[in-house]
Amino acid sequence: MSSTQRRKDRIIVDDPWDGRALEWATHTPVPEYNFAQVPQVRSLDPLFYEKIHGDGKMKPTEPLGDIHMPNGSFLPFMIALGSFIAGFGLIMKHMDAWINPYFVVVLGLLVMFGSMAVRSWKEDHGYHITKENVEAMEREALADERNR
Amino acid sequence: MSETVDVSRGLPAHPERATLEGKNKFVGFWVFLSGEVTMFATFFGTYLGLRNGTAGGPEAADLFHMPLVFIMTMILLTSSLTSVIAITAMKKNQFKKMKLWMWITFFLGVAFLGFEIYEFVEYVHYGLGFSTSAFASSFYSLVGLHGAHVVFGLGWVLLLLIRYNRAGITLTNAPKFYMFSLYWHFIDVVWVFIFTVVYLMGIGGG
Repeated sequence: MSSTQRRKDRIIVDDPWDGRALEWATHTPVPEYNFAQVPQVRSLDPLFYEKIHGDGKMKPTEPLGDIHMPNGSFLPFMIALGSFIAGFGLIMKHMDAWINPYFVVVLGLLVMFGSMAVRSWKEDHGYHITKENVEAMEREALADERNR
Repeated sequence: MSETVDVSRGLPAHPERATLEGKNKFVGFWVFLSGEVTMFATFFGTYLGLRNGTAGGPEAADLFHMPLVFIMTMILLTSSLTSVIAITAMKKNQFKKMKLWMWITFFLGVAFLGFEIYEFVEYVHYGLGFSTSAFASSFYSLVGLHGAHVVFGLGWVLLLLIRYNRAGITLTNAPKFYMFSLYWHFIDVVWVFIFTVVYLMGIGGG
């Protein structure tokens, strides 16, 4: 299948299954900021509630503005990896392995808490998507939906 | 939504929750602490269920030495107080004062940890190894878990103190120091329960 074909077959309907919950209230594919404006939740099934009692769209709780985003980071993965290594070291006690299990435990704990320390040390303030860019991305998503 | 806080006329009165990130940390940290409460509750439950299973080894009343535990309690309670003084200074934008009291908190924590290690070494000399009895295992697990939390807290505050040694109080580091003080209070509260449930009930034979 060619990439153009795949692009054509991509599902871009916002709410293809007539859903009940918030994940169907944003666009498909989901923009990186999820929601341009934080939606007002009035029920445990918020989208369903709006479909019955409102006009079927989530109401915003805030004006459209710049959106603050976190930067991508591999540190959470390193924390999880360290935790896995330490846990594996603890069950290695009965494995009769070539390596001392306590060495594995200490290594895992160092990776885990070391990554946490690095994450704390580096001040990562993320970035902003400007209001203009958000508006442009929203327009594009709506146009996609209409042109389907 | 926006993170713009006007700092041109100095820090806001509550720098730890002036930004959205600070507020989010606040909520997230309380969720974390509630998980910690649950974890400690299971360890307390285990200890209470197993504390009479001494299997011929040393018993609580033979081991626990009240003056030592009392001193440890006083040291940890004082360190909680000094962290409060540090946070009060932080809210008034007195960075040097905050740093001083945080360092005092750190060293009181180190002193507590030293006494705890001494205590464990003594118990091992009395013949209470980790796997001597069900009482021994549950005791070392519960009190050792608390000790591990103290170690983590000391590493945390040391990291913050070194990282922000010359930074002054900012909207970024104020929530971090505040979260540490919350954590430290939590550790202190857990110790109060250990003091009551493990030591007082152990000596009182309740």
